[in-house]
Amino acid sequence: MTMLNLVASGRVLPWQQARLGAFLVSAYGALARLGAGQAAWLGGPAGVALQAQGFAAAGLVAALLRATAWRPDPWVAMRLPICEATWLPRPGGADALALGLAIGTVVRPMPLLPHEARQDDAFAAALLLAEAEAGRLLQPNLRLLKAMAASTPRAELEGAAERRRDAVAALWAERLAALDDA
Amino acid sequence: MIRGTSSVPDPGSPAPPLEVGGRRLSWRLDGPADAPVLVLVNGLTQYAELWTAHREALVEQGFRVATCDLFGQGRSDKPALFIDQDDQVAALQAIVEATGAPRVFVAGISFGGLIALRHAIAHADRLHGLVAMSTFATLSPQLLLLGSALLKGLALGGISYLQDLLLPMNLSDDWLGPRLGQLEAVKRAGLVGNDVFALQNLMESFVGFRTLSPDLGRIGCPTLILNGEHDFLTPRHLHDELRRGIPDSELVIVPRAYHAFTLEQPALTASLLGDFARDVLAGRWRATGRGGGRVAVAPETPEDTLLPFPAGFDHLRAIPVPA
Repeated sequence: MTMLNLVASGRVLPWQQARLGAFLVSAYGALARLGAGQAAWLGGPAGVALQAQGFAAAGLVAALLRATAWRPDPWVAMRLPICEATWLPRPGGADALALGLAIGTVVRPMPLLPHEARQDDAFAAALLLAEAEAGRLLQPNLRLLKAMAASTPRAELEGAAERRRDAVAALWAERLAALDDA
Repeated sequence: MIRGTSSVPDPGSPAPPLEVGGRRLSWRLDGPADAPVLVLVNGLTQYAELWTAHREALVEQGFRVATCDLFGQGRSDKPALFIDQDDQVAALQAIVEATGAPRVFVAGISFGGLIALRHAIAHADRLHGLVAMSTFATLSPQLLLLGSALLKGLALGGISYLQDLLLPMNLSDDWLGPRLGQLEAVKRAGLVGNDVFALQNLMESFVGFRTLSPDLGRIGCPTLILNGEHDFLTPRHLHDELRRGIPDSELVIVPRAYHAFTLEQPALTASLLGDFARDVLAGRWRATGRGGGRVAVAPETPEDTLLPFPAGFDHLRAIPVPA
């Protein structure tokens, strides 16, 4: 299992912070755009929930931008377009919700943080914030996709969720592997 | 679906995953090939490795022990949106079949106890015996509201908050006290091995739940019902409903125990399971007065013996009231 490495002070290595932070900003940024974008044309409680999700995800982006020990990393610059391409919308009513669900379920940075990490470190705090928000972030996508089962076959919805999940999981696995690089 | 996480502690030597309904089910089987088989079924937030102490004790006693992660747990697949309880019953039956034994014992706790009950109703012919621990056939108003509150807690505060609710509810001061300083470390394995969406899907598999009570009579095998003395989540009357509904059952109250007594008292649990299975296999279950709706009290240590509940008192009360 991939784990972040700590320097003697109990903080995550700066280059790992930058590499992971860049991906998380991209992923939560996509979630923020998805939430706000869908809220713009969805009325009722669903619109409110998605708008709130967008703001919560934007809050995580802001926290990571502030907390990460940024440093130049050509690898990140090369891979960022692939991330952003993954977040592009596709046709289909369930796709945007499935993408949001995939980001919320696959991208889970807290388990990467060693138990010994300093809890008062800003980057660790940002990862713990992402974990604490995970339940709330998932709710609009999970609930709206389940509600769609009233008019759409379950297998079709599971399929849409699985396709998006596979794409996000592949990206996440690549980022985790890149965190193991010396 | 989402593949089971690799961050769950390595179980050592798991069997190859089973394919059930297009999903991958993680399991393992330990013990001699010709030994009687016990299948242990996890509670909602549990994973197979939490049975390690029980498994080792039961293998030592001469049993073959199967453990698994249900769908949505640990290393098994985690469907993104929908998990039906029927899928979990099918998973359990796949494990029963994969053991190769014509009949097995099944023991499940809490959510796993419910799945074991449903499995026993559907596949009574495959069971030597059933052990239903800290479980229920009916969602009582208290249990329904507690379940809803736990689900809301999971959605609003994530797994860590759910753990914060469950730990003091389900474990004793004696267990929690020495661990208070290391509680975050205690929580970490469950935190890492579980996923919010998967737990939520498991909890939402209760939507539309109907009581199993009318079907309990179809459980034809000897059934041991274990209930912690202080179980707050699934109190005595829910277990008594099982005792009254299952024809050849025995309710055993585990002293000083809470809902998650299998975690607190693995040696005692393994001893109770082993004694039950041996009694059934040796034909002593009814011959020694066990089963048939009896109520008993478990010993406090594995070395002592189980005693009938004191005659003349109401086992549903927490104070000594005449029956």
